[in-house]
Amino acid sequence: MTTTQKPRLAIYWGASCGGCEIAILNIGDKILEVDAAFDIVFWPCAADFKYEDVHGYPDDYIDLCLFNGAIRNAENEEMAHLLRRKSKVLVAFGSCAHEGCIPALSNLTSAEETLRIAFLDNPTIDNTKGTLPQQVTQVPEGELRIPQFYNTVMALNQVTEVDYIVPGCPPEPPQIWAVLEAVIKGATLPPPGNTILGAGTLAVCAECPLERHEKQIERFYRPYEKTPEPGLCLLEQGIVCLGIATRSGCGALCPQVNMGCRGCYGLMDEIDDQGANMISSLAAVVAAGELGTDEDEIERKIEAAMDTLVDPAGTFYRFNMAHSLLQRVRTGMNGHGNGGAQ
Amino acid sequence: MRRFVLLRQMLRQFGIERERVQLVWAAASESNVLAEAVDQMTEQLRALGPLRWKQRVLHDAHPHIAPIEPDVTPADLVSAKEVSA
Repeated sequence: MTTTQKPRLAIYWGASCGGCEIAILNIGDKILEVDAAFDIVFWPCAADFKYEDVHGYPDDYIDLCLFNGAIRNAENEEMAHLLRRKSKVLVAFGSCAHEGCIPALSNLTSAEETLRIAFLDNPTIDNTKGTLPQQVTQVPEGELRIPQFYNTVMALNQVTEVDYIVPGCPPEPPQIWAVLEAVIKGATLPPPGNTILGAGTLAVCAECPLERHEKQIERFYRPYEKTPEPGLCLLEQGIVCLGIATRSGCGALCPQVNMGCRGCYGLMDEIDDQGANMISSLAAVVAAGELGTDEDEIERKIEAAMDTLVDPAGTFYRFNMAHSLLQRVRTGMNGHGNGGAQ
Repeated sequence: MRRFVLLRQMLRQFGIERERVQLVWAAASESNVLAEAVDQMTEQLRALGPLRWKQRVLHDAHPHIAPIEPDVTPADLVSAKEVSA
């Protein structure tokens, strides 16, 4: 570390997979420019920093903090508050910090159920003693504590104020570099306050080269069930693609390799709920039958078509559950316990 | 109809009772159909009680969490309508 006036950069992870850190490294040799431009003052994934280092910094010491990962437990939240206090600019980096992402899919069940599946009832687990993580454990050396596991996974801006959001699972490296380069060159950023950086404003469809022909479908197919016709819109072939309800900025990478958009750049401006938006959009491509068909027959046909769509909630809120209108399921209705931390 | 079928399937996953969201067709000449459907739905919702999602489902969520507004349930709406009528 040098003692020059370079801006100070911190990168931290909450509940995340590590993909955001890899995406940062995927900006290639430009990472050297990042190193040259910033003093890295906290980045546990890449350099040996401790909590105490951050606690020792004065408030607003960090110029730019990229926080990836969702708020899943008390440690994530504590670090979110700490880094907010120590940072001039706090960025929710990647889908988990932005909107909950894959970790927030566990909002489809309870904390108890999540732990049960992860530690007890799982074909790849051999936990004959039924050991579960305990928040407090007595050992000969004293008392061991681990952070409280929350029932509901939250996005970063649901626990603290966020200046900017860089969407994506993970954010695409060219978009990451565009944001970092703007900071390095001292460009004027838009006003802070949950402001989206490094993404577009239109739907993914606007960047997608696949052709649409306003065709309607009789049923949906899971990716393994169908080889798509090249060059044609996946949704119109019955392959669920969330491009129509998802913010652009990725370059429509997934549809171009025959994988429907998963929705990772989140909802667009002016949209309150990505899943509801997707229901509206999807409904338009499902065939309802000829004009004059009997109403019951129409309903039966639509139900049959919709039944081929496995797990609508998990599909439409794969990335956006924490920011959805409902935010989580009500448990206790279906024998799945009633929500752990009550 | 298409949106409704899909919405109903998804709301079931969220643990919301089927009776809370209903779609009933009634032509302009079928006022009795509409009235019966409203009566029936009112009774069903009254039996279920208010949803109160924010308090009952997001109860452990952090206070920073954005409140779901308005905090009104379909049952509240139906009973409010009855009172005003």
